[in-house]
Parts: sequence; C-alpha cells; structure tokens
Amino acid sequence: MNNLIAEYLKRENVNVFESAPNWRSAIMLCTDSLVKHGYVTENYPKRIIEITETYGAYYLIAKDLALLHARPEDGVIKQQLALSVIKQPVVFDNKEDNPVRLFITLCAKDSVSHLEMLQKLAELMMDESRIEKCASITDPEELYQEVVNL
Amino acid sequence: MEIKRILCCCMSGLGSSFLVEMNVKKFFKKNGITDVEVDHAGVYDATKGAADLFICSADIKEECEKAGPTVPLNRLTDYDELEGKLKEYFEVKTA
Repeated sequence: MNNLIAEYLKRENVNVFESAPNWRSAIMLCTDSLVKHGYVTENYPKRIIEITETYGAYYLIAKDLALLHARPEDGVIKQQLALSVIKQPVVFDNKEDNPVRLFITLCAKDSVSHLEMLQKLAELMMDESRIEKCASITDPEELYQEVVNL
Repeated sequence: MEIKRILCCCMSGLGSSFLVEMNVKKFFKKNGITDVEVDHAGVYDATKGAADLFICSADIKEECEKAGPTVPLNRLTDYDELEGKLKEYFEVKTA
C-alpha cells in the first residue's frame, strides 16, 4: 500500500513530552530528534524561533495544533515530518487563547514535493475532534499508529 | 469587481496557505464555481496584480492589503469561517 505519511514520518521522530518551560523550548524539543537524526541542521529550529520573534506564532493553524516549519533553505537536509505531543499545553505570545499540545514539524525540501502528503495529513489538521484525540495520546507508539494510518 | 484569480498566502507559502487553497477549492466545488483560479504562496509573493483577491492569516493581513483586496482568516483551517467570508464575494447555492 502506498502510504504517503509513512514515507515522511519515521517512528524515531514521534515523541511525547511532559512539558516545556516556554515556547522556545517547545520548538527545540519538537525539532530535537530531527536535528539528532540528520534531517535538519541546527539552524532550522533557530530560524523558526527567529521568525516567531519577528512575526508571531505563524504556525498555529488550528485549535491545539501547531504546524512548525521554516523554508527548505533554512536547513532542511532530508524531507521529513516530526510529530510531538507536549502534555502541558504550550502558550505562545499574543496567542494566549490557543495553548497547544499537538505539534507537527514539516521539513520540506522544496515548495511542491510535500503537497500530496500534506493533503492527506489535512484530514487530521482540519478535523478538530481528531486533533483533540491525537493531542490527548500519551504513548508515542499509539500516536504514531494513529497518524500513519490516517 | 470580478474575481478571476485568488492567492492564498501564509508566511512561508509551504503549508498553511496550501490548506487554505484546499478549502477554497472545496467552496468552489460546493457552489459550482469553475472559472476562478486558486493558488498558494508566501507573503512575499503577495504583490499588486498577483491576484484579484488575497486570502491570508490575520497575522499578515497588512502585508496582503498592500497588494489588493484581502480576506483575513482568524483560523486558517476553519472552513466555516472561510465560507462565511467568501459569501461576500461569490454567489452561493442555497441548500
């Protein structure tokens, strides 16, 4: 079976964390395995933080969900996704009304290759009840299965 | 004003703007609108003449307004919000 999400999402990049002291740490946590396994350079999370400082949290696309990403040229080595739950909701500056538990980090290698996969992932990202379900999962294996089998 | 081309914009043009484009296409399909082109891009591509209507996240509203008529969305993935706002520009089929 051609599973687009499985092609992008390695089990090693699915993690559940207890809490993050602030939104900067949350971004570092969510991108840590991507840096460690060589999918992005250390510049990638740095850029996400820099852009956030300038423009605000541009990736809060739905209730309880952040789609973290920077540009391919900001440090993407290999295309990949990371999926993280931070059990204690993370609050972003000026977005106090939307604390977030579910984080999807997108590492795109160009502007188009990932679109088909994103269209599939949209079934989750555009469905509040599914976001809520994923954000409440505390076992990384269960979280992986839930998303990879969309 | 006749709208022939819509550009959905977000900060990078990689993710969220594509989700908005999907919802705009869903709206057009639902209402039998076939003669409007929809695309997505980063905010730096939102320039005068690039489209007749720009749809973006509320965060980058000011930038898009410099390029032309703009529909800002508070929740990018919220189809109902988008539909409510597009109704001001397009004729919709009544159920």
